[in-house]
Amino acid sequence: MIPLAESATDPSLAHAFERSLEGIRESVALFLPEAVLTGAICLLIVLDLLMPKRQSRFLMFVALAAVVGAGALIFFMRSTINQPLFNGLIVIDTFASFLHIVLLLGAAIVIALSYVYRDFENRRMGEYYAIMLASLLGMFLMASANDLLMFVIGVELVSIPSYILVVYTKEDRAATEAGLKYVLYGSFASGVMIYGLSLLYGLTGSTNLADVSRFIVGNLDSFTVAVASLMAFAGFAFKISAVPFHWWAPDVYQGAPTPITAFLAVASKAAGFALLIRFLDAAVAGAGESAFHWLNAIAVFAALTMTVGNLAALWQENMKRLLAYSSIAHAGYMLMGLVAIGSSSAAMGGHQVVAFYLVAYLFMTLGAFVCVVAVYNLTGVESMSGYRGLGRRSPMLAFSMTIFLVSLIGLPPTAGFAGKFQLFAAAINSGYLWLAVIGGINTAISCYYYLRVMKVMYLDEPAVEPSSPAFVLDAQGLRWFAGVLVAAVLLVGIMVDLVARVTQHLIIVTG
Amino acid sequence: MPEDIGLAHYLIVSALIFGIGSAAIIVRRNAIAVLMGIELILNAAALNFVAFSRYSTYGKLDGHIVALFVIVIAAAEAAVALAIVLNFFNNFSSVNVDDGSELRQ
Amino acid sequence: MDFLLSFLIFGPLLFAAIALFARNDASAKGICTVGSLLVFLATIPLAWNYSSEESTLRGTFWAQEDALLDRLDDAAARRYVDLAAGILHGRSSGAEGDPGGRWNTAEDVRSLVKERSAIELFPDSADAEARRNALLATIAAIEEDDPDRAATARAKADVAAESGDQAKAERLRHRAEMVLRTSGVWLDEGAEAILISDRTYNDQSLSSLPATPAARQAEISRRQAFVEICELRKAASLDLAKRLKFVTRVPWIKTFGVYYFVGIDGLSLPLIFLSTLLVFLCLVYSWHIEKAPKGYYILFLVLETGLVGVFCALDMFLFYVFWEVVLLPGYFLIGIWGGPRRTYAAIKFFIYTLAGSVLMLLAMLALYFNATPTSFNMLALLHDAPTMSLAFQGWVFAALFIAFAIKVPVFPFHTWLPDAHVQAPTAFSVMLAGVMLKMGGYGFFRLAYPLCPDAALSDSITLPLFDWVLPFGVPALVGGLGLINIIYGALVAMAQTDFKSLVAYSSVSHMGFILLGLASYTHAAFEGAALQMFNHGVSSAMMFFVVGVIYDRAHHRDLNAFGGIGLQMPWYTGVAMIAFFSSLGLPGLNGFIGEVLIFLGAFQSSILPKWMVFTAVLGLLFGSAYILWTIRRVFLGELGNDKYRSFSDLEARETIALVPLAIMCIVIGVYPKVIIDVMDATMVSILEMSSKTFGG
Repeated sequence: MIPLAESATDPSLAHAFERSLEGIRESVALFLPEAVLTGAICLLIVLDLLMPKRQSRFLMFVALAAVVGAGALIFFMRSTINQPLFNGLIVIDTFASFLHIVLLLGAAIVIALSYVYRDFENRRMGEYYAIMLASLLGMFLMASANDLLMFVIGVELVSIPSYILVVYTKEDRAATEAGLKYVLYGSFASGVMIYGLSLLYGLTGSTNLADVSRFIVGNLDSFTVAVASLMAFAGFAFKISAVPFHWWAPDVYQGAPTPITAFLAVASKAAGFALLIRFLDAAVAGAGESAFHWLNAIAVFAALTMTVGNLAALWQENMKRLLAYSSIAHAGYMLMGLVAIGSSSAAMGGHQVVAFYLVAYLFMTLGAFVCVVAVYNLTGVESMSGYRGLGRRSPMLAFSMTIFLVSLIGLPPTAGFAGKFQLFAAAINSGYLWLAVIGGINTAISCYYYLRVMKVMYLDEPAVEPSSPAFVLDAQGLRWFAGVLVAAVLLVGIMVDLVARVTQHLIIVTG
Repeated sequence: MPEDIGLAHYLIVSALIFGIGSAAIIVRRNAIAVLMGIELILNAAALNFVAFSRYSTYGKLDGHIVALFVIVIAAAEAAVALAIVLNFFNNFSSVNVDDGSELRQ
Repeated sequence: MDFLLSFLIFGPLLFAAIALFARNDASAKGICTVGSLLVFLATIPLAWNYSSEESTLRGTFWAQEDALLDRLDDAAARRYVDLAAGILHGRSSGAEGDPGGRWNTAEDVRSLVKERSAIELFPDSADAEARRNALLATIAAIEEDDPDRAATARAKADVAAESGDQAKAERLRHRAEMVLRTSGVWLDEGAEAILISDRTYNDQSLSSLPATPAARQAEISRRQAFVEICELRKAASLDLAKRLKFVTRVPWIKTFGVYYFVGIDGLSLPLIFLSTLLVFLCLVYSWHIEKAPKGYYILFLVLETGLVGVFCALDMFLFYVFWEVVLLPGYFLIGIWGGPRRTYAAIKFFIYTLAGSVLMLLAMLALYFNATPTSFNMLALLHDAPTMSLAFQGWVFAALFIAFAIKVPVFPFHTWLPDAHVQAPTAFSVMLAGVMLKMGGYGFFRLAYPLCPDAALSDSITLPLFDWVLPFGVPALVGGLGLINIIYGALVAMAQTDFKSLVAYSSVSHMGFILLGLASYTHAAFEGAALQMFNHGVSSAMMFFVVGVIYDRAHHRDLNAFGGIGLQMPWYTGVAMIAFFSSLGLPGLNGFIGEVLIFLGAFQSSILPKWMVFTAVLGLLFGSAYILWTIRRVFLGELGNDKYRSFSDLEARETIALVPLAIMCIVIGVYPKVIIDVMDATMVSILEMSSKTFGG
């Protein structure tokens, strides 16, 4: 980080200081999107203090504007840049920029969803958006981290605001319990991660990821490196809800307010994967054959995660809990794609297929959560019984949910299939046929619970009589919102090239 | 005597603290006690960072800087966690972690 | 004409979309039915114009290749040919621009290959002999290239120059040069490793790319053109390529090399005809559905898109997409409009078939990565099939076999079928038995057997984990499974009391004949099996319609409660007799033709054990038994219940559904040349491909 000289009177100290200031000055210009987010956070807090509670929900527009602005800045300024910033603390490469846009997209949809969520109606929402943007900022740092310190800061900056967000509806017992479990579990996981990273720092002598990478690649068989990395992995696995650090997910997803569940399920997971990819790329890429222990470990984790997620989802009655286990399973599929990290394939490298799948996953999961919010707003029910007969009560909503479920299964011509196909291809190309077979079996198992939701929507008798006025559910704006996401899912699934052309050119730079 | 205290001693101490903290988290049922365990773990990590940085041959102070950040982060985390525990107490009238089990299906 | 094929595939989807916005149920039903009729009528010009000798595939490919050749330049072409030749000489790879030993004609290459020993040419390859043979075969195929293409291009260039269009003349001269320069070119593993790692390039792959972005882009474009040319030539050199017509090949997902590549040959044309006809008949038949008819009709049209797409697709990815498109409408059709246990049947159908499809996906990906260059093009894969190692072929064949066996269905993967058939509404049962089961058979003929000839012909099976060597070979296994299908299906059918269940098991039994034909490896057997697919589609569709008619009136399907229907509904009985006797295999009706060809081929076969053929004849006996008994129970004898007196004879919609099929039964039974002419050449090609082993 800061080069240190021999003594205080050493002239090279002044030079070192000069150099580091120069580095910072150059980097600030490129750091504008994050600055926009930071400015928005401060603005939101101030405005929230000034506005009366009833009107604080309009601060959504400020948050949305910040998100869109940051997105535009990234698109125009940073899409072709590949360089480290701030003396190697962060790196901006095409992979980071792509993930930033994905995160912003997810955040924008969640912000819009929070605007209409029933349980947020009589609350002060300014600080909600501020905290969400703070978490988003942390995700940005996670996606472009190039230094062990940034790993720590990023993970914590994401986690701590999200602890608060989960408990935002603080009088709700479910949210409270979820929040407690989340904060205790999450702090433990990040503590273990920080300890592991400290061991890595000790082994390497530097916090810069490039130095750490050189060291690990040279010592892939070392026991200490393995232990340190496993401990670090605990933190990453917590963020992506991989087995065996997935226990928090069902409870937290179920108890938290649904927009926050969506935020955790999509944005937090994307950031977690970004961080994991950076770490793995540093540790494994370019090592070739000797990295197979690591890749085998990832494969085993992937297989376990998929299987546990799918098997546990089979008998869930609560929709949010079912989606929680489903997202655990999808984390498993993405881990399966990660065994291709370091592969020489041009379009199916590990980070590329995961990046593609994150786009597909974003649309289908957020779509499913939009439908969940719509049903909850109209019926107040989160369990499967609220979805009975949805095919007749709100055909458009049921149809949208069907498409999202089909995409989650992975049937063509949806985005889920395009993504899953690439994950399988990456695994097979890297020689992990057994893993692909397990993935296939899991896909077949997952059909059962996704189809069960479809069956409930179309085949079951609705809880309300057809003649009663409450029969028809008019989801108004949310219906069209879901429709737009359906169009996105189908578009990505049919015109795969639209996204694949971009992911084809994603590279990871370790500076 | 001070010359005999080397890197290994610090590492062993921090490992012990880590162990005690983990044990506290796993064994104790009181949420505050779990938080104490978490603090112990974070401090063990910070100690590690400082120790490695102090005995490093590279002449850089990276570990010290990370340790500063870890301390700040630990404080923020503790504040938020305590607020959440307080909220839990308001709803459940207890700080026992096992008392929150309504979500399990 | 080529556009007509795409209309066949996407037309139903278009009509379904239009019907989605229809104002009421009747107009939706009308739009869908008229749409399906139009799609069926569109099949007729295609069938009329199909001829197995004039293929349009080469024309399409040459046109695309011309565009690609224009992208090469002289230096690039020379470089790539030199690289390939350099490998041939065993020199170090990566030599650019070394002109020594340039091979411009196929003849030079051929003589070189003959001279050198396999070890010299492929020092690292274990299967050197095999690779050399494959190489010789490739060269022979390339020699079939029209050698006048260069001369034609030069002549056209002169014409253009005369008329003053210098740019065009230049382009055509350049193209003539490129044709000459790249003839005799093939891709060998070494050359492939230099030229491409997979179809796309980014900054990290292949350090030998030039520096500036523009030059890099140009070089990538040239390499991609070269790779595609080789793939096109491989595909066009197949014998099967001569049988394909109405070919369309348009890039779809460039990043992975997926093309919208469709065409029909003698195998798929009858099946497409059958699909479109059956969908139309089903929609007419289902006019009386009361529960949500709009959704029913739209789902049927989506189903049709999937079915026709499966039979037309010549790109593996496209094939898989259409295969999966069939699943979801099936789930909903059974699950919403089905019988009492419909939910269970629907889920079982979906999960069972999806498990098979996932296996197919894995096999497809394995084939993709194994191909050089990586390709989803079925024809290119078929071309390279003999070069795949036996172990690899074994795994791929196992995966594909199980995937298609679930669809056919083959014992022991058949358990989803009775439930699905009994619980499904009549029209979906017709589609299921008439066309969807044929998807499995089609998959065997198109993919499983031609892609893995060694595996399919191998006479010993070694189980991987335990290293047990089974005492029988793959043809015996397939024949045995077919035999079990035939006998077991027939016996269980005899025991059924539910009319529909009996017909379902008779389907299982008849599909066993197809497996028997597959295992025989003779011309007659392959022909008979393909014909049996079509015939069974017609006759079992009729039988399910027959069941539906009586179920609509009696509201039960208990065979023992029926009786004497013949007197009450004479027209219905007449048509039903045609269906039943066709299924039985009575000479004069279509069922006989397929079965007799299969038996003929099986007897002639040197691969299938003779005892299987003799035992299969028993299946015919059992078939007659349960069909005659069913006829006796339902149509003849005493009136089972006085209520039957009030049964009306066939209504208009039922007549429209049954009569065309009956006519087809009789026509094909008496004059099978109509269909056999279409199928013959294609089945010979497929048989040839399936027999091409390392030695052959």
